[in-house]
Amino acid sequence: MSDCDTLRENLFAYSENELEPSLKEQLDRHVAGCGACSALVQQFNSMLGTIKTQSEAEPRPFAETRLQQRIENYLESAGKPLFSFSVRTLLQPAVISMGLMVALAIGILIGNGKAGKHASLTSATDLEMRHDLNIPENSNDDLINFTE
Amino acid sequence: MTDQELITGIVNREKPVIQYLVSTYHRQIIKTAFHFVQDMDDAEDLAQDVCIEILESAKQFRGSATFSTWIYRVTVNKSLNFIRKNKRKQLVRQFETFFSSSKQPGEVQHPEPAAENNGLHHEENRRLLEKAISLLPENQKIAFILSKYDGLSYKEVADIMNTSVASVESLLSRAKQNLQKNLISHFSEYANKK
Repeated sequence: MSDCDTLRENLFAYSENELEPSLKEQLDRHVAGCGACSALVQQFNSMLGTIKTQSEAEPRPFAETRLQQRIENYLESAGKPLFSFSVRTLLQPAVISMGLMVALAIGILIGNGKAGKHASLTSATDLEMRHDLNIPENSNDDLINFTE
Repeated sequence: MTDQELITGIVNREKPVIQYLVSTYHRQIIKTAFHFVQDMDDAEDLAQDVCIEILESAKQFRGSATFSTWIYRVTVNKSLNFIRKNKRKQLVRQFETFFSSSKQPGEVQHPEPAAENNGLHHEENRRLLEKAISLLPENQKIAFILSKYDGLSYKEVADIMNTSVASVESLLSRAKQNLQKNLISHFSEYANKK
């Protein structure tokens, strides 16, 4: 394995100074005389340098105040409307179904009333017809049977 | 304030305790989230989610780890979930950037040379490293970020990841190998382009 390959294999450790002293010295000598490896080490170190700047980045001013406010808002909103929302959610379908049931009951009552009236009219017509045809009112003969 | 006092106060929704929680841990939460998502606005939003998660699940805190370790765990999980959810959005953004640029299809965008640091600007370096880190498997990514960006010891990283120090060492070693491989291939590509 050439020194160029050895460096590529150990670039991270070389840049972070984590190699054994003998290997470190060997690669130091190589890098000093090899333009490509020297450029590679420089590029790699420059890239690792961004870790330091990123790790030193601090939260923006008033980040704590903003966060405190957000948490307070959350706690307020989490406490307040939870109950009223659930009561409304539960009651709404119950009220609607009760209304529908009342409307259905009224409909049935009205329907029954009309049907009763119609029945009485029918029996009045029936009596008239029996009278016209001279059939006794208390006769068990059915008008339909008679007509047949 | 001890961890137990903190937990009891949070469970009872004591305002001074919650204020103490935010003032003591906001910096740690925002910084760690920022190291994962690389955007301060997103990191602040995540800090809110982390605090709410802590308020909601404080009752379940068993004390097997320290409170600080638990906060790190919640922060890492929230940040990774955020990254997963935003992957699609980032792809669309990269797609738009690619087509809005004057580059020809298939041509990889390379940073312009700059004399002072051998062709790569600091911001471009940061993006390249960020990209390389994003390609790491999740466990390697967590170990690398917590160790290198947050500056935590192997033991602390092991506690947060609920694993052994040896596992963390192995994860970091593999993470470095992968990063080195990805970055060297980028540099060679860049050198060939020059």
